[in-house]
Amino acid sequence: MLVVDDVRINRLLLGGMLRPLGLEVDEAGSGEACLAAVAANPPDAILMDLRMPGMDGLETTRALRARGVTTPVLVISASAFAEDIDTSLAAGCQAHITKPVEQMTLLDVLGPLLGVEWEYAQPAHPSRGGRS
Amino acid sequence: MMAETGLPWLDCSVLDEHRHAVGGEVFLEVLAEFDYSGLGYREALDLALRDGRPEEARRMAHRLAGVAGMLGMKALQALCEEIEESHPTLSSKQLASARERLGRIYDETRAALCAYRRKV
Repeated sequence: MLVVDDVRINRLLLGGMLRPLGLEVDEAGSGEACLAAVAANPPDAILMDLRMPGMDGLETTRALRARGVTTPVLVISASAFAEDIDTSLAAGCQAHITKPVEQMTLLDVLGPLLGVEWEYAQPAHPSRGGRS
Repeated sequence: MMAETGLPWLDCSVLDEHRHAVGGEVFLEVLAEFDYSGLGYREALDLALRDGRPEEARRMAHRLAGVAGMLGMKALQALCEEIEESHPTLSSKQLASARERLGRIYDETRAALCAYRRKV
């Protein structure tokens, strides 16, 4: 997995939600760093912030697609507006979730992108009960 | 306690969710990062508002809104989104008001976060 966000708190949280599940997570602090990271170590999926200095999330996704990279891109955005979601899908992103990101929501969206089904041995969150 | 917008300073359920998801060690690192970078964003935003640098103000407001949104800091998120959306059109009086509200809401949010830390 590759988490792309210029804000370290967001990288810490998103990485922290995935690493305990056994997923290997790399981080990139910019669109440019994302391109380099994907070239060096292609991930199975990319979690992409939209608004970043330099190359933003949409420009980065377009650059990836122009290079023939087909890795699924999941946009993490503050915006839930339909036009923003449509724009990100048109740029080559596969899915879109809004902040604040909850782990269960992230896994629900990420599962189909990775082609996996999550199985929980015990309740993933005390307030929510378990899933199978 | 509620902000004048009616939004809570801190939605503790968001932080509880993160704490359970990422574990105590990473969670503490997240809070420490907010202490450091959150203050930096707040100061940079305040200076940009004071000095009339709208692009920098919008960039910092967006960053602080994003962090606040991820951490359940509802009033701070709403204020920063308001600044990000409206800054180029704000009068000098409105800019002064935005700076005053930023300082007050940030301080109240920090206080609420300190109280949350003492509880968990």
